[in-house]
Amino acid sequence: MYIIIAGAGVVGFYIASLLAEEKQEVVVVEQSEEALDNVRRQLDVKTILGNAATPKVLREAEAHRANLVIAVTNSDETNMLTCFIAKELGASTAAARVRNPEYSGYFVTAGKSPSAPRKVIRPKSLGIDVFINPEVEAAKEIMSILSSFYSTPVESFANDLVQIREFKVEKGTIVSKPLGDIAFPKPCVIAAIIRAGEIIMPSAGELIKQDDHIYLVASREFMDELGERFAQPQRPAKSVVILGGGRVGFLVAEGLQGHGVLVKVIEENISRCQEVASKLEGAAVVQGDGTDRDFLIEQGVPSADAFVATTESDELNILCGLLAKNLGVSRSLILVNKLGYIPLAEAVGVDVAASPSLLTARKIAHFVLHGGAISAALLGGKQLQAVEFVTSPTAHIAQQKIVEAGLPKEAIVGAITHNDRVIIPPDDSMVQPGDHVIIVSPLSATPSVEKLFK
Amino acid sequence: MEFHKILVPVAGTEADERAVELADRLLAKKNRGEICAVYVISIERALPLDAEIESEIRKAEDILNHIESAAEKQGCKIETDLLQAREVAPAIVDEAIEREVDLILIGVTYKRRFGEFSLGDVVPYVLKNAPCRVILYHQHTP
Repeated sequence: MYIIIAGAGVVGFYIASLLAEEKQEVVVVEQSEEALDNVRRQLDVKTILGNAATPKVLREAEAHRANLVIAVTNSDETNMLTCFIAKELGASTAAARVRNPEYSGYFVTAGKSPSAPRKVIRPKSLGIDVFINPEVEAAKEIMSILSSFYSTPVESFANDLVQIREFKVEKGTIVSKPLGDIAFPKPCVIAAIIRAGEIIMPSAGELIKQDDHIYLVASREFMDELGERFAQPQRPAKSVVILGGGRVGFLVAEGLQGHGVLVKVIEENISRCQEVASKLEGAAVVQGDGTDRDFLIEQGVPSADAFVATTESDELNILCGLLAKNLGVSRSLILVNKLGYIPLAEAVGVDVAASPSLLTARKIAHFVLHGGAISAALLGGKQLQAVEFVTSPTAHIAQQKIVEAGLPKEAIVGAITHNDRVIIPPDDSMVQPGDHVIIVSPLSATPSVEKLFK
Repeated sequence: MEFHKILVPVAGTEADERAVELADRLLAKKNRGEICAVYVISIERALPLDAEIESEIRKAEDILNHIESAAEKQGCKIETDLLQAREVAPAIVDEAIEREVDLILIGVTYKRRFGEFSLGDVVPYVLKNAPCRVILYHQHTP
């Protein structure tokens, strides 16, 4: 696949690093020499210095043969224009990071006469196939976590029949037990263990340690029950305190309110407070400092079901998240932009650190699909990828037993769905054409897996 | 018989996909023929014609996305357009005039009204007023 990435900021760099690891042909276009130098130093990708929103630069980047153009500069307008020109030059698919929701909406044109038909301009007609709004993605992720029993991310496959969920092993669960000795109440596969940032391929003798991150593959209906082996289920949040009335904070507050959750927004800036209060009827909006312990107690943080820190400052979010946790709130979620802070935040005790750039990259992963793949998701930062393949009648793997199919040893088959029935390995049935197979593997092994489905 | 510009009005029925498939077969490919699938949202008179009805737009978007991906699977590239008007049929005719198409191809399902077979309101109007040839395509469903 030939992919052009416009913008080498946090998101652009991160996506380029993922794709380079997958051995895709990538070119990064960036205006800042400094940012481009950083890419050159660290990644094995082609680079072009210049403004991606100009035909000259896009022609130099060979946009006509691009399978995908990802525009992730800081400016919505540049991103949209880049996609528009790239599509006109012949690029197949274009994805743009667009923060302003007004750009990704629909609008009706004026008619030639009062009764003449109106044309509805769709975002697609502007040359953009995929709109990525990092703030919306972050808000969705936070809301999905708050409405479930566990404070960890989940990915769905095969029309939501199969889920892959990350669990952080808590004290008093299966700690220090060898994997082979754990009796699970329902069929499931442990696809990977991440310990201190390192992937460990699961084996029967592997001892589970506290704070390990486990990736579990199971049928959706059994996931909550299986999760009890690793972590204490918590009740879905009914009262939430949100720190920061910015875009993410506002979207989370609005979304939660729509689901009947009691919401309180704490914001330091008085004019922003007034703006949020005027838009969110029924939510309490309070002006104050989130680092003030007494103020947080006064605002009822200790008795809330969850505390969500969504300010623009990563450091402030970590600090306030930690403070809320210390005050006794059961779930403390924070937003982190700098990827390096995520393990740090988790290590100091903040439950979940959602990162808009990571979520954007995850969304893009769905569009950088492999031959025969219909869905893909990144797990554990950029280390693992779960890919859902549909078996075609001519695929190498068709009519073979999965154990004999010759999968790379780092790849693990999470689940197979046959006519909407979920089959969890070990299983010695044949893979039939039309079956969905969900495989978890490190990014570097994905091309070898892909060959089996060609 | 070959056509250069074909308009396929879609309504979210099973006949849509077959109509696009037929349009692809009838298209003069050597001369870069075009197929455009169009969906028309009908706006009731109580609302202004410019009203943005999100639920209707979402429904239309789903239908157009579906037809686009179905066409892509058949190896055929189509353009899609979304219109809103008071009446569906005149909007289709207007669009055919605007785009200067040489064929309107409509996939129809076997509809009954008061127990009798009925073509509905749209097809007869298009047949009567179309500025070009019109083909009705009906798929036999056992």
